[in-house]
Amino acid sequence: MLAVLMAVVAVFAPWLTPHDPDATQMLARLKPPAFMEGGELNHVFGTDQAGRDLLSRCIYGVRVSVGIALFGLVIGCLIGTTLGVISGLFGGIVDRAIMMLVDVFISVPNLLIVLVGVAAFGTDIIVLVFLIGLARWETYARMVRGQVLQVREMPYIEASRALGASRAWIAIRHVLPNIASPLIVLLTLNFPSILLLESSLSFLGIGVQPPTASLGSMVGDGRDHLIAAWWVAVAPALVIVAITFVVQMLGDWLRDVMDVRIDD
Amino acid sequence: MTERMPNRDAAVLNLPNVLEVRGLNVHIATDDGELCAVADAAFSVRDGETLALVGESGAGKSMTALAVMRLAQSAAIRVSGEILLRTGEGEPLNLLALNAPAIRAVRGRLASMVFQEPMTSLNPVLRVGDQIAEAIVAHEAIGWPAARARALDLLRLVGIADAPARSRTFPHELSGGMRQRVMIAIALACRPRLLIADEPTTALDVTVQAQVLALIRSLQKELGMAVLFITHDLGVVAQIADRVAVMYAGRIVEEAPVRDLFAAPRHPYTQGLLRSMPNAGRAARSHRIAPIPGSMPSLARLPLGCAFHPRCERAEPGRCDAGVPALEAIGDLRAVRCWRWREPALAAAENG
Repeated sequence: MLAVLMAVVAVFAPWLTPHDPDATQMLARLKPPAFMEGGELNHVFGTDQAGRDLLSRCIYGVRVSVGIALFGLVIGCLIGTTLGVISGLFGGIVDRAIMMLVDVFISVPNLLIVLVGVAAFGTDIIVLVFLIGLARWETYARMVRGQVLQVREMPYIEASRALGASRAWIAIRHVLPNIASPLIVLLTLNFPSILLLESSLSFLGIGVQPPTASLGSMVGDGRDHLIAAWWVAVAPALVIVAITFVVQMLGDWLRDVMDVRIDD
Repeated sequence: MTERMPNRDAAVLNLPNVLEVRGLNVHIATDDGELCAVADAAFSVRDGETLALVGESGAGKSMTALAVMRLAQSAAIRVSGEILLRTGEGEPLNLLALNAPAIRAVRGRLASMVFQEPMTSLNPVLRVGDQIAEAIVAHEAIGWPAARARALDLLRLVGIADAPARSRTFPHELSGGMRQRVMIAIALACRPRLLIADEPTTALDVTVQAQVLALIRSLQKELGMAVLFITHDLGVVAQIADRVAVMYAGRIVEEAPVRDLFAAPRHPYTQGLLRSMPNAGRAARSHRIAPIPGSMPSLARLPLGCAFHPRCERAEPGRCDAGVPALEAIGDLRAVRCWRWREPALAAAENG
């Protein structure tokens, strides 16, 4: 329910926000949230150092951050799962080559990969999405490979080989559905860290470029005003926490719904 | 155990071999060197005939079955010999010579296999109807809706009531017997010439086991297919087989029509197996179960000579421990692999 609410908020952001997220009001700088002294209902979360409405910026920020994280997640998952299945199913030298690549990627910090990528390709949002995906594929590859190794020894895999199924057919039809539930859990576990990766990139100023609001860049902006106006950083940070939490619950629920083996 | 020993030797003899295995060897590379899981196996199965492959765990029966389906192939396993499958008209196919797409076209279409574990041989996340339909789609130019309709017919064929509802269930919602019926339906989806059943009833209780055996027999009659039935249970053999091949430590030691084997086993191992069988009925009171002393040697440490000689009460030093005996034909239908089968002591022991 909360997830649906968030999705709705993100999709319909332009119609929901009380203010233009990028409109500055120099007279209303660093206004505290509505519940504090000096706050007004006009700016429920308060305003930032340029007098922009924080609620509006948070809503737009969710849209940008979640969007980037989601696509990055999907790209990483696709790359990782494909390589993981190939690795687990074929074994031998293919397996070793892919796993070596995974080890290399794991030992290089994600941030570094993205930094290099941004330096090479610029800070376009599409580039950012691909880089985030590329930075995080190796966990899927590793997990999927392990699961495939386990599933491929199951008698039903041999049974379907005995019926003349090809390797690709077995991979798509018999292996993938059986590793779907750990994969979904991993996706939801990874989502927050991808969201944070996007946020830290934006915080560092190499992610989403101003004036576009992203949750990370907003926290970054608030850093300078932590003492005087803590809400500038805390409001988007709380939104990050809320999103992470909701996505985790969504993952649990999804797994229960999708896995036919868990009886209710 | 029902004592139904079909005797169809005469009729069966004239039919062509569907499966003919010659000189089949399966070598497995291990850390301690290469061991021979199946040595020089030769047998054939005719149209409409059931050959039972009997032996203890590790005797090489399942390995033989997997080798026939070309499923026993990995870097560590080496299969050699000839496996000929008659396809109807023309020359039989040598399965060991086929490339990967060609062997896939054989599996499930010309030759199918039913496995021991009905609990785990079905994919737990797919509906059973779709799993049957999948076997059809894999081999025939047919759409999914038509294949699903055929799947319903197959479910009815294997005696599952309310097929439309059952086809939508997941494997864990079915009982063991039902699942094995579904497995049989999948194996029969394309009406294969040869069905290999690898201990299909071992995981089932006796009542369900009898039902499944009866089902396999009636389907065999209906479809006229050859069945290679693998089991360690002589009771099951008596119910289902036309001919029996007994395996010990990777070798076929005796081959005979089922009635002859039970009436007059020639190999000391077969004799021991029959003596160690519980015998319900009139003789039960006076009959003691006589186990074979010792256990089957590990394939990595096979004794010299006849592999059975350390456990054989009639082993002759200097002969049985010197060379591996050949599988000698006795008449048209029988064969035995023993140095001393002609000797009277063995013949007399048949009644023991």
